[in-house]
Amino acid sequence: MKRLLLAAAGLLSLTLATTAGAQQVTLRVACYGGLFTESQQKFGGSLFSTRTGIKIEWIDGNPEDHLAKLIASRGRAAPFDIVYLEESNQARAAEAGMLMKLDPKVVTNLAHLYPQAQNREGYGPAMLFWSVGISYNAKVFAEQGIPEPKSWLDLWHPKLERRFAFPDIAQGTATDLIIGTARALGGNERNTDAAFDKLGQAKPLYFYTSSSDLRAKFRAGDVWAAVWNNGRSWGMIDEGFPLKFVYPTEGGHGKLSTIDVVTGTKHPKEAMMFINQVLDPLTQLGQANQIPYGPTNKLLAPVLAAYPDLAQKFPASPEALEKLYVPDVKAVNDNYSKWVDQWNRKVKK
Amino acid sequence: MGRFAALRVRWGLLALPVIAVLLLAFGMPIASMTANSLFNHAGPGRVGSNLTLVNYINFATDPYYLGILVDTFALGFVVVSICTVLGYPVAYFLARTHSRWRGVLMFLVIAPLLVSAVIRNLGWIPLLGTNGFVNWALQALGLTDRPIALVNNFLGVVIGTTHALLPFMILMLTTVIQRINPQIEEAAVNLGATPWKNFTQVVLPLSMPGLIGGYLIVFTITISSYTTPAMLGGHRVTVMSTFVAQQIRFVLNYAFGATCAVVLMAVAIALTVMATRQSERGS
Amino acid sequence: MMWTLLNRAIIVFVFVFLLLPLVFVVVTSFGDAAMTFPPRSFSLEWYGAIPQPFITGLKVSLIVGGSTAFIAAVVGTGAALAITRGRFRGLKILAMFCLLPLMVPSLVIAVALFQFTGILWDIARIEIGGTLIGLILGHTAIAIPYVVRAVIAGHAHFDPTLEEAALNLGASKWRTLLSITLPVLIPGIVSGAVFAFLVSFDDVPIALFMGGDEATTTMPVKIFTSIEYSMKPDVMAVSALVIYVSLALMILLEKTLGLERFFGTGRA
Repeated sequence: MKRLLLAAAGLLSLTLATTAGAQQVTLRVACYGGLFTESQQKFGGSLFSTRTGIKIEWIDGNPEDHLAKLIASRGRAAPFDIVYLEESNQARAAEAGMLMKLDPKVVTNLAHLYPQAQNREGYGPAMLFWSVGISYNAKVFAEQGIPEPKSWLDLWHPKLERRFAFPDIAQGTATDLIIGTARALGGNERNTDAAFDKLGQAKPLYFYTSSSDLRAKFRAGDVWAAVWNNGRSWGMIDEGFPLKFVYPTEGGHGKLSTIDVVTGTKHPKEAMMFINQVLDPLTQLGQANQIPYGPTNKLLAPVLAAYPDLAQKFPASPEALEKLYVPDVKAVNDNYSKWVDQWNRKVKK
Repeated sequence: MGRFAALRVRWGLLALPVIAVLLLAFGMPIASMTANSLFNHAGPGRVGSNLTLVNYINFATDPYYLGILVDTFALGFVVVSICTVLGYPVAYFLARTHSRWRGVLMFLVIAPLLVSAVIRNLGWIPLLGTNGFVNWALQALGLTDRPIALVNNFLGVVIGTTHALLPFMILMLTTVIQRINPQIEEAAVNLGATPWKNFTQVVLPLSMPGLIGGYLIVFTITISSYTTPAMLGGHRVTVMSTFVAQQIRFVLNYAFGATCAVVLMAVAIALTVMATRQSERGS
Repeated sequence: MMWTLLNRAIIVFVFVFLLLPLVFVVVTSFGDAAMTFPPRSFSLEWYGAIPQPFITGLKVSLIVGGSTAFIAAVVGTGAALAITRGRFRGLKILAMFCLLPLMVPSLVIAVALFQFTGILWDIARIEIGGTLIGLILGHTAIAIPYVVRAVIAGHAHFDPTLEEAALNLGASKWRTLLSITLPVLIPGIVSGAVFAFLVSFDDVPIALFMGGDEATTTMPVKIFTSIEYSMKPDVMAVSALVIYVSLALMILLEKTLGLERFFGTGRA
């Protein structure tokens, strides 16, 4: 078996081209893909390459798959130098020692970020804020005489039976649904039993993982309401769809998308320089204008105040951020496998 | 010696390349991955170092997990049966027709597979959704007075998976049926066999190799398919592959994910061995 | 009579069933930016605006799919011949082994392969992760079962006297193998290769894990990762384009070469 492997290996190495080790530094950046990667390149990457001569190579994928790659390559060469994650998988990656702490002397923009965007342990900060609330088709709600949703629990309205969508547990947003329901019922992140009983009684049309799929179902009129995020909801509102995105009275949820340097990178300094670029006001404004998620650099606050049409789409000021409830990531991660199990057995049916 | 002894070729040697490729790209990776199932889960993304059977015991003693296994194989049997019933007439037609459009028709059979599964599944929304075409037609015909749930349930998974796998069944059967000498059938008909008799006693037995091939392919892909059950089941239907994906991608429990993969493989192998034995006895 | 009617009905139903979901793809590719269905307006603009990454992804997919189909067809045909004609111990195990990749969810294969590329690097200093070779290798593994099964099926009803006759007429065994055996197997090999291509062309998990930068990102991965952030008819346009081009190619092949050569010569 081993001999066979070596023979096959030899064969492969013959055909593999060796890359020349030129002076050119290339940073491999694992990002979310699509329009998001495009706008990061347009407003951040290309600027960075022009200024420094460092090349950026994008690797598209979901945060979960990036994390899986990081876990698989633990103790070996890093599969990429920089990674965009969500708060919860960032915590797991950090715990496993796969992320580097940032040097504030290199990432000078760290000093200008909102406190909510800072990572307490010194890992990568939030490069944008997004939020979770209830999206609903205002036209259909009016026609059907369904009251505007004020609480997470309003999704249990009898007229909405089989007409609303919940996120699947594979979606980070599902943890917000669980926590939101728990808080509406007097519980919290560590007290979710009542929430699971309540969720088990809900009759959603389906559980979504893909935003494009949910969007198509809103359009087809199959779905009238969903627990969703601000960015995608505003995408539909801007297209002229009669969607409304609201925060329930228990508070919408504030969420963070993070950026980190991967342990084992050959270019830690350059990677931090790139992160500094991503946190730069110019890059953040371009990004927010392309996909409406909120910038984390507070230097932009006065600029955004001058553009209320844009600023209404995301938490854009310290006050707006204060109003959002930010779930305790540690509690989410501690309970996650238990939640998945309860979800499978009670909710998913 | 066998029927192909005339050509003095050591046929077994022709299998060496496949063994090499499969060992390198599948056998060894899967062996090292599934070895995780014999160790304890030591937190997200970590496999412990204690040799244990606890994962298998957990699986075997929990009706919830066993239920997923049963549902998965039920799906396999339903889909493979529908694919056979729907695919056979089409394959027979394609194998026997002299139409100039035969090639194009063959192409149309596989055309849906040229579109990415994610996109293809979006195409079902205007057809099968609550406000979709099928529900509209059913209500217009007065067959039902309220929309029927055609997707986001087991039925949706069956429809989607059948759609994705029918092309495989049809092509597999066509390959075999066109090798059956039409004169055999003509002889049977001339001797007074009814179309039904001709089909059950002449064509069907001769097309067994295609049926077995199609059955094996369709059944095994169904039980391990992911995208379509996930999308058309509305994440309400759990089958082994969606469950394994959840354990590996989100819970990061590699030990249990690997366990489920091994169980799926083991049951699939057992069923395949049984099916091939049965068909060998039959022919 | 009832029998024929039922048959016809099934054939028509199957074609409608297979092609219906594509109607949505084709119609929305000419539709409005919000992808309303049926569209509020029609235009060709999305065909002119197919983003470069999709085109690059399509090229990668064609290279990977083509190589996968070729390699899987060659090694898979060998395995099929060994299984149908060989007489050696472990033949049944080999047959099962060649079917095994279908029984494992491709996500598991993807993660396993990715982990294995690390091991391979540790023991042999070979990097196949993030390379086209790694990608093709992974796809070949999941494509082999299709070829093996198709060739085995196509080998049924093979008349050994054909080969004996050729040998008796003085042909060498390799000559016989190439000019008598292989042509009979062509339809099975072609359908196996078509399967192999389609499997590679549709796969996301393995391509996602084995791929990396632009040069190793296939079209389905590009589509999969991009529609979460923006869903425009351009995705539909590129998907529809693939269908038009392959259909045109198919008709062209039929008119010039005659597809009977590929699909029909197996008739006894």
